[in-house]
Amino acid sequence: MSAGCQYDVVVIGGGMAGLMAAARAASRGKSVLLLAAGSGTLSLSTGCVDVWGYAGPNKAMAVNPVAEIREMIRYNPDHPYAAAADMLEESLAFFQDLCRQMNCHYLAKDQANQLLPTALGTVRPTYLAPAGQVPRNPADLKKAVVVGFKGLKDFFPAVIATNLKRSGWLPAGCRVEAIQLELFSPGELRAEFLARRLETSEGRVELARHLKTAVTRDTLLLLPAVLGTRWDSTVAAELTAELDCQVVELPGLPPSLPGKRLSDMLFTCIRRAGAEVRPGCTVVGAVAEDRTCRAVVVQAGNDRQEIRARYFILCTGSFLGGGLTAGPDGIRETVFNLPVWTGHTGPVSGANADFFSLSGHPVLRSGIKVNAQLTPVHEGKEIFTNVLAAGAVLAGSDFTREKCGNGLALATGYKAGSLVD
Amino acid sequence: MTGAREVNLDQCIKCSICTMFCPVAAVNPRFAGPKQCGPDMMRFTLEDPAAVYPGVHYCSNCKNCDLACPSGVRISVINQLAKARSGTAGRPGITGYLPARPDLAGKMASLWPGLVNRVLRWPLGRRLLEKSTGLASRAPLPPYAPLIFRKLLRRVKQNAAGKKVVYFPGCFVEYYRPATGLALVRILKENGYQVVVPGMHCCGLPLFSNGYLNKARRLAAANVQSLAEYALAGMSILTTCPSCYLSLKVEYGELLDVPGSEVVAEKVTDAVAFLANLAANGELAGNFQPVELKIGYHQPCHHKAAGIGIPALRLLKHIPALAVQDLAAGCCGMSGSYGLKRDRYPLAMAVGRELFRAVGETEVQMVVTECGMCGVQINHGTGVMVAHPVEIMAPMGWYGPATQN
Repeated sequence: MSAGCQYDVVVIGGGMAGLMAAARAASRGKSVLLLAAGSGTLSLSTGCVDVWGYAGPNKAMAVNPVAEIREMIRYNPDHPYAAAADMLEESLAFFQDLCRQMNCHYLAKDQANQLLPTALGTVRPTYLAPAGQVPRNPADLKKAVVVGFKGLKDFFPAVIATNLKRSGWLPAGCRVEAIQLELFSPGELRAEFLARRLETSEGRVELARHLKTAVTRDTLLLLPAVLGTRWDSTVAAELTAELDCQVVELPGLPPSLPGKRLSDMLFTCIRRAGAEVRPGCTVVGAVAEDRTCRAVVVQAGNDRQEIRARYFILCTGSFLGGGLTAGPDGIRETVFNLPVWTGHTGPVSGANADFFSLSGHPVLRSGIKVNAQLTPVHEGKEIFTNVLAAGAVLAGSDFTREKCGNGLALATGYKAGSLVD
Repeated sequence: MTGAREVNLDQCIKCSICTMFCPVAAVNPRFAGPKQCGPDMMRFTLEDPAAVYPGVHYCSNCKNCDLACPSGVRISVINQLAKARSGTAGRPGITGYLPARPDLAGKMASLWPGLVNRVLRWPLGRRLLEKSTGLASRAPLPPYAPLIFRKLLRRVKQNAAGKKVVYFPGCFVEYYRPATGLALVRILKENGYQVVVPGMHCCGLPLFSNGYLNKARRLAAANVQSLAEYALAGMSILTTCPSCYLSLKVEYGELLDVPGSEVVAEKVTDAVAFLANLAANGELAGNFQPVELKIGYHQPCHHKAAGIGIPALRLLKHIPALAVQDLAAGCCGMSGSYGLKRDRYPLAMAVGRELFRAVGETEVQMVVTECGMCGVQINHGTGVMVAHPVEIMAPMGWYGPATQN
């Protein structure tokens, strides 16, 4: 085993939290190494930044997420947003700046949540959305056309059109049509394949030819998320010019191209900022002395190496990301074996026998407790002084219900990257 | 059967992220993608051991699926097992078998490399080759070296008292580009090492990537037998080729289940990582000449899959005046001999599109990459010269300028 290299910061995890932590630390001139075991679950997301969608199962949609988070942490100080609320706006502005520099635009609507349609034609609240998902003048629409491609899975234009009509998202009197095209391939179609086809002018001309008669200036075209593979794709703009109508994408079931574009963009950002990225390796343990972590043990294939750094930022996610594992003996944090808070004592399965309860299952809120410096704590005491945690590994949030996954990861990741000195 | 089936299969949660990251699926609708051909189909083998999804042979074994998986499933291994179940994709007979045996082809060609190279450059020769072996006449075939690496190495005076390391050159260095191996030997010599090259075969990756699992196993077993004594003596086994590295390090155990392979695997080290480690400990000797070039670094897929990061970027910082930029533009499309075949040549070129674009956009004067065949493809797609990182480190001109094709 070699001594390895020395870094200011080692970030463990390549999802939203890890990428933001690395981006922020690198922007402050720190030497950064990011370790990732998979592509990061950011690629499974819609590519939008949900900051705070609903306060609870029976509560209405949050109007101004930032204000409502401030309100929420007053009566729920255990929520992980409490640790990053002081940098929430700053982190969102930093993210939008990064996007702008990369020629990728994320839109917010006057500090309020915006409602955008899903691939089922229902609507969901989100805070920041890629420009390609946001219609410009929804109030002026006379017609909406949902376009599907035969062979493309999980996208059913007729279902979307019916639900969209019911949702009340479109202005009154706006007609909704569904079109199923047979284009590009006789067999199965995948989003990436379609996206690469539409990146060619022949592909776009072919698509436009089939849609020309169905659209007018007041039409909104709703396509599956296939308008280009890159974060700075111009496919939507070129289709808009070709057809002279608005074109938006509906993010589909995971995985989604908008999520992957965002992930690709952030990886490119941090590389350009000088961070080193090491995919394909797993952090399997740590070397600690007293309350200081000296190194993490990194496994790649059957090779193990210790990597020393001054700070470690844990962004491994929860169960899906691999930061937490659950077994008969309980829930375990996989890198530092930090104590996992589950909100109660006793076995997890006894906490709520109804797994599908609308109020959520406590297991979803389990994770690592941190203080205001994002340092993991146990019974109020710091465990390590130089380990910080961010994102879904943190305890106290049920992000699928609160609709705050990417927002929480962004804010806590940014703060962690700001705190390492 | 390897552990892949028992341990790994049920970890797959069907998120399809692997298919989204698959460079082949993005350009070829006839390939259903790593999830469907791999973990999905493997389930059916419990009832029908021969179950296989059509098109599985389009898998280029680039391993981007393994890298993307959030659940740690060894998808590429499951796909190679599926290829082996479905039989080989190549043409029947020796001509179809040849692309899977760069060592045999190299042995034959090196009898008279000048003549073979002329035939390979001759349009009619290439058309005949396409007819007989299925190698696309437009595909870039690297020329054979006038003298193989092993013969050239004998001319190098080594320090008999030096610390010993083993070098596994692999077919590309042995038959096409000895300059890479010689550059490494020179750097190691300056650092007080003596390089040992024992008798060995092709690592077997071209065989199992083409569905010849059993034939690959035989070569692997022979390599393990030959390397084990050095590994047991505590010597590092260096590779310059990422695919050889991955075979020796991971696939011999995980896919081929070769007895004793773990002894060898433990000592296998990427040569650039080895040098970067010396440098990190302040032990790297060498009077590096300034190289006034702007070069792009391409990380080969198999190198990425090794999970060792990019030691070349750290190491090349020791060369004065050199500006290195990580291209980070994904797979080149070639995947060993995959992109040479007639029906796959267009797919390979489509896969490499982003990388070729990155080379153009960054206006680099040269590309460095660890993989020989990635280099051949990048040179073919962009016209830019390509070299292995160690060739940049050993003073330019020592073995002649690094050129590709």
